[in-house]
Amino acid sequence: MLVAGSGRSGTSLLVNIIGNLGFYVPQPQLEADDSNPQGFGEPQWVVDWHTELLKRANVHASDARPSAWADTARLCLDERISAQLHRWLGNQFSLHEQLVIKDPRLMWFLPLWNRVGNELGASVSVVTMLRHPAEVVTSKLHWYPNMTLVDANRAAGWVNTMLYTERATRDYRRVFVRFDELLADWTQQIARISAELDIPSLVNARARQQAEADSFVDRSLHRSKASWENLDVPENLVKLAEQVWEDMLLLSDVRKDDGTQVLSRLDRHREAYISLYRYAEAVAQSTTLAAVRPLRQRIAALEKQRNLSDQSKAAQQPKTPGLLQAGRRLIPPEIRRRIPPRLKLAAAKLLSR
Amino acid sequence: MASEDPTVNDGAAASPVAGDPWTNREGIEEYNIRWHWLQKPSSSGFTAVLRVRDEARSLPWVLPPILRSVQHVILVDNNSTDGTPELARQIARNQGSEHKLEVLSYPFEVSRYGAEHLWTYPDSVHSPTYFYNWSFSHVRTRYALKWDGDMVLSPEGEQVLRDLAWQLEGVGGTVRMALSSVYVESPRVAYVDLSYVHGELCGWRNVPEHTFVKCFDWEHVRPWSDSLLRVPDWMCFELKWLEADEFDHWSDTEFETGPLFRKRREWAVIRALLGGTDLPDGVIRIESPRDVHVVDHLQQNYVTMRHRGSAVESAFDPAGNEETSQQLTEKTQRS
Repeated sequence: MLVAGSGRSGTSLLVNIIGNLGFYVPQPQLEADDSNPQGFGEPQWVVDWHTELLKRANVHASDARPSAWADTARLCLDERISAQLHRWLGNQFSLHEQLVIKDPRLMWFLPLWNRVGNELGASVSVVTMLRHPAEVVTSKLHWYPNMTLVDANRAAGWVNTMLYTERATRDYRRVFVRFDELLADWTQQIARISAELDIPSLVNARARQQAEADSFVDRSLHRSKASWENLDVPENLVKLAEQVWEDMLLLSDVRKDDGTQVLSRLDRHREAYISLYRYAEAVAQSTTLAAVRPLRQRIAALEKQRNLSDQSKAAQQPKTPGLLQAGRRLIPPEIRRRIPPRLKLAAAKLLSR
Repeated sequence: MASEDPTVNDGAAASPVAGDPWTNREGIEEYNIRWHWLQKPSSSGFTAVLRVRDEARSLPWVLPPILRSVQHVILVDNNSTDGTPELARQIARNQGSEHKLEVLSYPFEVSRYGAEHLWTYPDSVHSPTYFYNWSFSHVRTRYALKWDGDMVLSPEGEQVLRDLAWQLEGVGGTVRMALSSVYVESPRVAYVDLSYVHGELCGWRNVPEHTFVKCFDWEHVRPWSDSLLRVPDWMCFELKWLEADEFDHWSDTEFETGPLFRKRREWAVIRALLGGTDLPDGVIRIESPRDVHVVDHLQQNYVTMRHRGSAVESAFDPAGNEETSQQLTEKTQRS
């Protein structure tokens, strides 16, 4: 079982519950802290591996760029990376039949987890936690004050990651769970997960296990309430985030005949978000250019130094025949590229005589 | 006039843009090229375009997986004599995917690659370049996928294609395929060339920047984009039937001494297989279980077969001490 959803959405709570109902959280885990006193429920290997992969892809865990999914797609298809997961997951399954894997970064690699899980003969399912975006942003601002992301970017990150997590899992065995409903009555939500994902063992857990699971539910955990009032997020983004939120809620309790319309609306939301992000990037282009200008100047200076060095080396090499040089100047690169190699070689030999 | 506010979600899907038609030098208006480029963001996914001629034998393996994997399939038939278009419709009907398949006819003799292609104008209906542009002009989704009538997707490859449809929504990406040839000798025996994998650009945005241009020996889509994604070699393979003439779409067949490595390799393998001589290095023989066609067998087991033939996996150490394949190979040999 893969647990997806934005950080601060109740994913840790769900894993702590499920981890007491027959599912195993691979050890060692990330240590608990004040932001998550009951523990994160995240395997250390998974966190470290995802962190390394995101670094390679140049993607942030709550990246707001729609283009970031293409960056992680490359890694999802990398053979060596697939083999790493295959080995680790295979080892885990050799010891335990049911695993629950959670990490806020996991959404970026869902296709990889799904594929490797299937290769190992596992039945892969996804539970995505839902929490109002304003609550998520407020919670992150409170518990991660050292991170430099601003409100609007966090809100955009929520929209991007939730829209594409939904799209990524559309063909999967999946269920959506609201954080506030999990807190209100976790037994109902677990029963729903059990029924919709066909995992009867969840509701067949022993009484002691259920009591242990209940001990993780602390309604005081719901500390941030939904309000955009104190958040600096532009109106158009708030409007889109609310639309996405409303449709994601429908996925958590939609009747089957309404499903198609909801999915179609979510497709339109993704298109709208891509447009919004593109225009935001365009408007902010002056800021981006100003930020990279010193770096570009530095690179240009280094290249100039390197060219001077190359020229002095070239001066010691035999000169290219004049006709061949003239040919290169007269024929445009796009035309030169289309000339078959055999013709180029023949021409070079002829002009070199 | 459509709203310029990028956040307005009026519920309407992004509409393709019809450009000015490209005319052909023969003046056949019905076959002018009318593009349906799609510039705005769209979740419409991939349209696979198959240009086929007498592919009835391969179609039962080629068409079902691609119908399952993409949003739309356009099959352009070029004077088939074996019932290819009718079979395509039947396959789609059996699968319940009729709504996804569009069958078109391109009734002109198209020049073969090589000298014939070289001496055919690119705006002639007989040019492969024109043929390809005409075929792809019917795409109305965000991405076009060039698919051949002999390319077979593995089940894992189907999922990769389904995922790429949304993974590439936010970029102007291109997709490069890596595939090997499978030479089919009989219903139960085939030969797979594991040593040579050729790469081909197969997916790109449906925009004016990506059209086909004429090269000396063949056509090519332009240009390369910054966001290039390479799909793994286990995604699909290319069927070659040993009893057929696999080079009949070329006007010059002196591949043995030609500059194209891919064609030299195919020529060498086919000659060895037909001549009964030793198999070239990297070519393995596959025999399927009784009552299972070898192509079905390969399709279901292709990923496993390619993984066995691939580089040794490396161990991941979060501390950053990742062993190289070379080190692992040495370790394996020592043990």
